[in-house]
Amino acid sequence: MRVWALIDFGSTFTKVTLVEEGSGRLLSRADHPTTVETDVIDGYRCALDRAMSRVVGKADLTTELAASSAGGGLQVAAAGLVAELTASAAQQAALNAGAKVRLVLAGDLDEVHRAKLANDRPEILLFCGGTDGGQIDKVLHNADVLAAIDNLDNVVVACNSDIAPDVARRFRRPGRTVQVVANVLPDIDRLDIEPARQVIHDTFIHHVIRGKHLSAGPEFEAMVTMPTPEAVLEAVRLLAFGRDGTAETNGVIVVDIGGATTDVHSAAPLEEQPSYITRAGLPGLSVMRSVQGDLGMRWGADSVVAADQDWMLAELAPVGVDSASLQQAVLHRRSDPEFIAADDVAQRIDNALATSCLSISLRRHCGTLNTVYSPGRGTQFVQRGVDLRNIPLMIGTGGPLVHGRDSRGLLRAAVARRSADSLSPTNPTIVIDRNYLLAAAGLLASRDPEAAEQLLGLLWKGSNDTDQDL
Amino acid sequence: MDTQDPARVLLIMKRLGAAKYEEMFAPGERDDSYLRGKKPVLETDLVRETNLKRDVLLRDMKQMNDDGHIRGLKVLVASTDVHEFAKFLLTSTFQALDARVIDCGINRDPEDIVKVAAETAPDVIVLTTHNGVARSFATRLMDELRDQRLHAPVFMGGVLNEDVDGSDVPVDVRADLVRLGVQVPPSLDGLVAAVRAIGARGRT
Repeated sequence: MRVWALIDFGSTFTKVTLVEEGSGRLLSRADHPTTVETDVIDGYRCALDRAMSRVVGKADLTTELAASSAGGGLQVAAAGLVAELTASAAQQAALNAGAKVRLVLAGDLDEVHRAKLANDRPEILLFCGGTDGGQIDKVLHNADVLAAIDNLDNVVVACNSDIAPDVARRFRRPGRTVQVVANVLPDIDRLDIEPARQVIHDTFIHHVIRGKHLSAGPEFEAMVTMPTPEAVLEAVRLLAFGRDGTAETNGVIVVDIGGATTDVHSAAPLEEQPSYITRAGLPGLSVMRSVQGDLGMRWGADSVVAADQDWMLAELAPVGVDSASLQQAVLHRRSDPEFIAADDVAQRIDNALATSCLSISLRRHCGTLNTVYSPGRGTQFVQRGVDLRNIPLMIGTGGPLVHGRDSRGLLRAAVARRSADSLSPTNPTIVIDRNYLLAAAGLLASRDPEAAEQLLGLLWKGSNDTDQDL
Repeated sequence: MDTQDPARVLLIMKRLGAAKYEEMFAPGERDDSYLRGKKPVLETDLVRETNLKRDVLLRDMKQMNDDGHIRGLKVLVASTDVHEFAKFLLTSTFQALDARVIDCGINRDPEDIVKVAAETAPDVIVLTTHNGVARSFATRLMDELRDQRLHAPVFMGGVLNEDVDGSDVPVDVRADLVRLGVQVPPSLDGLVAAVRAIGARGRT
């Protein structure tokens, strides 16, 4: 039997999934702590040996495909002019490429912004601003401000195409890679993030991954084909639309809770907006990823409480948790990220943290529809973001959901907390990806989409009527 | 859908919205020079007279062998309210004169317009308003443009009045608008002439 290894070099664990070539049949999986301190291939070999030992029959490993978020993942800073327009488009392009975006710069930039960028030390700067044929002076000014920093190895220019070559020339320095792609916002009502996303992906594979020095040999670089979040997004895209765009699901949303962040990936057809609704901000995207850097179960626990304290205290009052004890519990989790809840109260606090992470991240990822009354205009309906109310499938993943006891209950509670103006899913079937199939399937999709569909079928099959764990 | 159920039919029509309903089902010949691409079977006086004025204006400009001063100018058009027809008239006129029209939509706030202007750098901003907020809207818009160091000339047309305390009817605010730096041409051809002059200055 010919076997493919699909590997996710995560920040803490390296996960190996073995599937049968051609069919995508899941054979086994195993993981091992990621060995960043020595060579990431060491941990991979341990996980691979364990996974191969679980395969029944003779297995011949023929292909190794990997995604990586080890060594900090792919770090991109985004720059644009207006926060809600080109800066937001730049951020979305980077997120859809699977990047961590810690810094978004907008407006007329100055030395303070330049210092922030120098301090952030991104692996790639995605520089945007202006529609095609639009703003010139402000974009060139911003380019001059940012070009002067030293520690910037890769720049992707996706601004007003009339001046993109000039912007690229201003950024060029010895040893710096500068690439020009199509504008992320060519017209004020049209997003085009795919060219920028693709170049960020290529830069990650050809430049960034090598610079991380995660492995001494060439094997690691040869097998890594994308950042891990991009693999998940590819799987979500395939689940939602299928190879030919006719998948039954008609939309998928994935929520991934971690210790520091909560990620949301979604793919759904964009419905035509009724004419009585006014759109605010950027046009919607059918495939998108968001990262909530302030919502996590351990490092991010204090900001979760800050954002949702009233609800958490009401939820935890029956077990005697007050504001002081909640703060203490949060500090403990921050200082010991490996903390595992050992009693009922600690578990209830973790459940409340998880529900808050889920509900807030869903609210931020999905759009809103507000009724606004103003003198002279009467009642207006204003929509921001995407309408995901009719998404039929929600998949939970990430440690707290994969290892939790009532993970679907937590997701159901988060869905039920949706506010009246939210366009988040109203009644999705809930599935937990306990075997981390999404990243594996996204990798497989890049070479054999049919086999990837088979693998993803394990998630979806039989879940139309009842919530289920895989 | 059960088409025999009047409540359902009304609900669907409500959710479609009047504009979509008109696009899909309105009678009339296909004609892109009309709003929503159909020539009405029976035009209102306002629509007929306004279209006529626009057609005469465009014909005159062509007969004058217009020197193309508007061609390629970036004209940002927006409406402060729900009145689509006035905005359509502006966008279709400037498109016919080969301007690059940036359609900012209806129901826009000053802040929305300035954000779009920052990205698109229009040569002129043309606003239509009919909802009794002309002065307060212009005040906010000009402040925002100044803050963003954007210097495009601003034109306003429509019904240039404002609801004010102590008056039963909205008061004319054209003089206030001019003081704010907003140009208020009395007609569509006056607007086109003023924009054309800006184009001519830019090309000399």
